[in-house]
Amino acid sequence: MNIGTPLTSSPTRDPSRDGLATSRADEAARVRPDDIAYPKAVIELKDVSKTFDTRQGKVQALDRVSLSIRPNEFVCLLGPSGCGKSTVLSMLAALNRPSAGSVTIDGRSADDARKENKIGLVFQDAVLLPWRTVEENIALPLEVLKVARTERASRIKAALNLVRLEGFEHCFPHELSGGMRQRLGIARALSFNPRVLLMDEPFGALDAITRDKMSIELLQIWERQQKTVVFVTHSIAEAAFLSDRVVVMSPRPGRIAAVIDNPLPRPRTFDVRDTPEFLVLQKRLRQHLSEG
Amino acid sequence: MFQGLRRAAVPVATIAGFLAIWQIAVVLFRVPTWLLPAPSVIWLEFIKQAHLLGIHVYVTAVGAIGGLIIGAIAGLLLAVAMTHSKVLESILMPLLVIDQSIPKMALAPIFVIWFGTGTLTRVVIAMVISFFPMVINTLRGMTTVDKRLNDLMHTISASRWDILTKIQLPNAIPYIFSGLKVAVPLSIIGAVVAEFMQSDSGLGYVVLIAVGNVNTPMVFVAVLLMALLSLSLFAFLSGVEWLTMRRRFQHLIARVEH
Repeated sequence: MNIGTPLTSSPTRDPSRDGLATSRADEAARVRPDDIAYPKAVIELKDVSKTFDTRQGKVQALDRVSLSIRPNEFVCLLGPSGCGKSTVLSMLAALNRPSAGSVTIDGRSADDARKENKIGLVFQDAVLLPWRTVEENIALPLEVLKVARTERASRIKAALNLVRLEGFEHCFPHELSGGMRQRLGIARALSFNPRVLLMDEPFGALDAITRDKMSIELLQIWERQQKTVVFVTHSIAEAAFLSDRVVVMSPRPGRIAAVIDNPLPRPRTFDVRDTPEFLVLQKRLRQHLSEG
Repeated sequence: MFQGLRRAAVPVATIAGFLAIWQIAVVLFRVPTWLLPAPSVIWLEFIKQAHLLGIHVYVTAVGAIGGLIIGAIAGLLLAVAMTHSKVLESILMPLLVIDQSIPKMALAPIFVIWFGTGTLTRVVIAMVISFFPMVINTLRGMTTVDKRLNDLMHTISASRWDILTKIQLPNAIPYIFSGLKVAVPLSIIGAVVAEFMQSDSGLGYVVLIAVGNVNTPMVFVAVLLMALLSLSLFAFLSGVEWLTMRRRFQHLIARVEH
């Protein structure tokens, strides 16, 4: 990708330009010690824009979105439909490239991160293979990644244990409840131990009660696994309950309206939702959503 | 068990009723045998000639099944090729549509010139007409995969082979069976048409000879044997389908039954 290269370049050496370049390099060198003090960002979006060509002409899905996400951070992308939150997610999964700007994961391109199996995907309504049993569904990425059979078995066992699906290994997806299917989707995504978990409205198709249960379970899994999670949602309550930080996005063109730190203590239980802090946070998120 | 009997009772009664009305009507109105023989006459003719018919059933069956198998494999391979190359798809799709617009029966005489009057012509005609439903169904089965599954496979750097063997082909299995079921009667038509052209054996040949001798009961015997052949092939395929699908595609079977 050479998106970052300038469009114009002077054929003769320009001393002022060279000077600028060195000062930038110095700056970079000076920044370095800070990196040791603060853990380096896992995910880094710099001025990411995206335009799609549609029949109605060019549509700008994202406008100069910048965001950095720390290791093991749980970040929620919150916004109405059309705000580009799913576009951000698909760029992180290297399914899409930015029209301008850069997306890096662990300091390298999203595509490199993909090739190093650093990315786990979880979808709405799980997207399982109906002809495969629970354990065979978890095995899918392991087979593709050519994990040895014995190793595969122990990884499947660990994944089943993590999402509490032991005893269901030989069931088929249609025999499971919606919540169990979604847990299976998470187990599949975590089976190959990716660094980043990308979740696209994973609980959007579940009923409210199951959704609540799944939120708690997801936090427990996350606390045990320590993954960097990017969680797309349009539920204010869900974002407030789950996240370390909420990125509020606004539509047309998609951009970041606000980045809100979540002050709620961890580990969280349902009780946290009755605290004044939770209500204040929800109110702030709602305000930013309506302003954006 | 009792339910199974009750489910079978209605079609059996329908067929019995139909045969009874046929028999009664023919006797009552004194319809001449050369015009429309009564079921009893057809049955007697079958009993009388049964020892001669075996070879003809066998010959037609070999032609139809051979054509079906080759057509199915060719259709499957073509569908795989088309899902994996946009270029191939854009070249082959119009050819397929043109191919389907050509009445294969009209080509039968040419096949006789090319391949002679033996088994080969039966197989070729059966193949060319059973091939199309196989391509179309397999193609549909391979392409109606949830787009997000492809995304998932992409994020774990799955090869085309992985996507083909782990996602597309398993997804196509129910569609492949539908294609085969459509192709079964077509393959028998193909084999019989080849026999109509020019041949010295087969159920199509039996029909031609019987018509020549104004032996109408024999014509009915041959046609009914063709139907029986088609039905047994269909039943066999349904059995194989049930065996493959009952566990892994139960979600589809359940949907059909409700």
